[in-house]
Amino acid sequence: MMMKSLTLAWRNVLRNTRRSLMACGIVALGTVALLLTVGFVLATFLGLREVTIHSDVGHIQVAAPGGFERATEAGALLSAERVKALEHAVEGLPGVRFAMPRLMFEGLASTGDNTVAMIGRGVDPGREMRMSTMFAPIDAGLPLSGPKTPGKRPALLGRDLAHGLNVQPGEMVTILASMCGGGINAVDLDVCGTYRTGTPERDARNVMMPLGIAQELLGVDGASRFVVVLNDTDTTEAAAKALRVAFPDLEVQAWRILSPFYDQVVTLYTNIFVVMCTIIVFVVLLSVGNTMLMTVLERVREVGTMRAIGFPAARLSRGFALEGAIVGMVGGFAGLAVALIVSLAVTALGIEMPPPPGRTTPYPLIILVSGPAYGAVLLLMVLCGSVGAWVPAQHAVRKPIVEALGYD
Amino acid sequence: MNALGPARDIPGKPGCTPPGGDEVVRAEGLAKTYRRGTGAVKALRGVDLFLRRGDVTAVTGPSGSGKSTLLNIVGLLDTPDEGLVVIDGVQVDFRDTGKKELLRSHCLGFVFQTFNLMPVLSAVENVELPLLLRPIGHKERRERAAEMLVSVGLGDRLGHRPRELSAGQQQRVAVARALVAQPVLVLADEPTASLDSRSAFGLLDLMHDLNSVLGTTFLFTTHDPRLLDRVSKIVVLQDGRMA
Repeated sequence: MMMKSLTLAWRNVLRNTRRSLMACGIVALGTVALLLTVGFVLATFLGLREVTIHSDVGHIQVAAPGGFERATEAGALLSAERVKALEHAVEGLPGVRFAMPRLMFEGLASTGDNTVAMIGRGVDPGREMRMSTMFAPIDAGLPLSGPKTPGKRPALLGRDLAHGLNVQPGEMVTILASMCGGGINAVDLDVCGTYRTGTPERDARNVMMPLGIAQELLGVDGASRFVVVLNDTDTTEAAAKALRVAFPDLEVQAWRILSPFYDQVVTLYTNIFVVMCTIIVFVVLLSVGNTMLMTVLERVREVGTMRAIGFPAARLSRGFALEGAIVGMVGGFAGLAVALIVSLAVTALGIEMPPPPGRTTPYPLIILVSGPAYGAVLLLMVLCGSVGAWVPAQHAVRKPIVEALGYD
Repeated sequence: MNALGPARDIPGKPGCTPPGGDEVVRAEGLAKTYRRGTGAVKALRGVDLFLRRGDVTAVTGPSGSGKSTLLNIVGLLDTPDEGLVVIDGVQVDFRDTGKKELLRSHCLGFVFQTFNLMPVLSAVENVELPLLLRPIGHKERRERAAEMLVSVGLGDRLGHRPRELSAGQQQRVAVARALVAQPVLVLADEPTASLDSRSAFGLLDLMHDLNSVLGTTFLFTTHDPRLLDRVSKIVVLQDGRMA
């Protein structure tokens, strides 16, 4: 029976090929527009997520109680023993790529002539570079993990901070900071290079140095954060949960909490996408509805005949909806194919997009091909076609039979 | 028309099997008024109709006499303002759409003046349509439709679309469609109006043959006085009343 309904619907779709092709074309256009938008948005989310994680926060951070609010206070630091215990614990966690301690502080960077407020970060250079080289490219000079020169105390400055201080790689900078035990301490560092995160605020204030130097400067032996980097971002919650279980007295936070900007962007883009999606769906619905209305008006007498034979109105409505679904499916598949080709082509071309708000670096235009998104959009188009046909069909199937039989 | 075999039972046909009596249709006191703007047209003014099994009845009369209205009400396509209709022993509740659909699909067959075939379906598929409302498998459905087309002399036109058939052939397909589910009553509104004389008489002969073999009752409207010689009963309407 279903086969018969499908056959009948298919033949009715082919009845006016030109009109059906036009409806399919509009569905295809809507599909392409939706898929390119969703592909761009998903690529943006993915890119932003990975940039957020790998350029700064890592997947998970562990801190002493209150450590996320008071990074440089002695009581809010992880002791050297806790850091060791954490290093040992994460080794046993599945999916952990590596982990590293980080000591954060605020202070001043000075060349004698110029003094600028800065945010310091004592890091494990090798691991830090392993995490961030891709996303915080060295602008000039060498990374912290570069070849070591005996007697030299290297520091990596944010590009804009270096400009502000007017220092070049190879020159000296003095870092002043409050010690955890009280008092002010200073250390002279050799600028080994400058780097650029793409975020102006960070490029203008950040100074990275080996963890030992920062510990010496602050007079501590621990760290303010313990950063965990995973192989797969999707395992973040599971790993965070395991760490919370293993260290119930410590605070464990995932990257999404540490970087609320990501969720703000996701919310903004999602809202924009929903509005756009609504407009496209509305256009497709109107278009299919208009096409199907013409079809319905031509077939009122047929509907009357079918009803006279005894076919219930609901069954005839379903028949029209099936025709609309076929239009939606054919147009949807065509749109899918076009969107796939365009997405792959655009991504392969490596088109560079201007820096987004709040960043200074351009990014490549990537349009993600997502199976679930393709499936969902196809389903949406089938639904649009179906609803777009069902609504005008009511005009015919609800008409009194005698009136329908005499309709011209 | 010797291709016609004996009537076969059609599954899913409850309430439409011969109850034993001869009565196929009993309509009493049918009245119908159409309201157009501020005016009203009384199409039927208390018409009675009684049809026995096997009757071939023609309803005739001038234009506007109420022929089509009577046919539409007996065919459960329209609702009377007054009166009752009993089809094959079942009194019709005109408010019950589902029941009316069931009665139409199981007890009634329709032949329209303009044939009203589905242009996207072949002749045999058109004839199959009423059987789609029955629990019958595809193969049997196709066999029955083909048999019926053979019966109306279109055995060599099974796969033809309506546009590939002449007007007379299309009307034969329509007759086959009306009869394929073995209804107790076939209603035809001016079935010969779109046909030339030869096709019109051919159609009437066909209806007679089917009537004699299957015992199907026919009720049709016509303006053509030549056709009235060939029917068993004539109902003449004048201004919505039986003349």
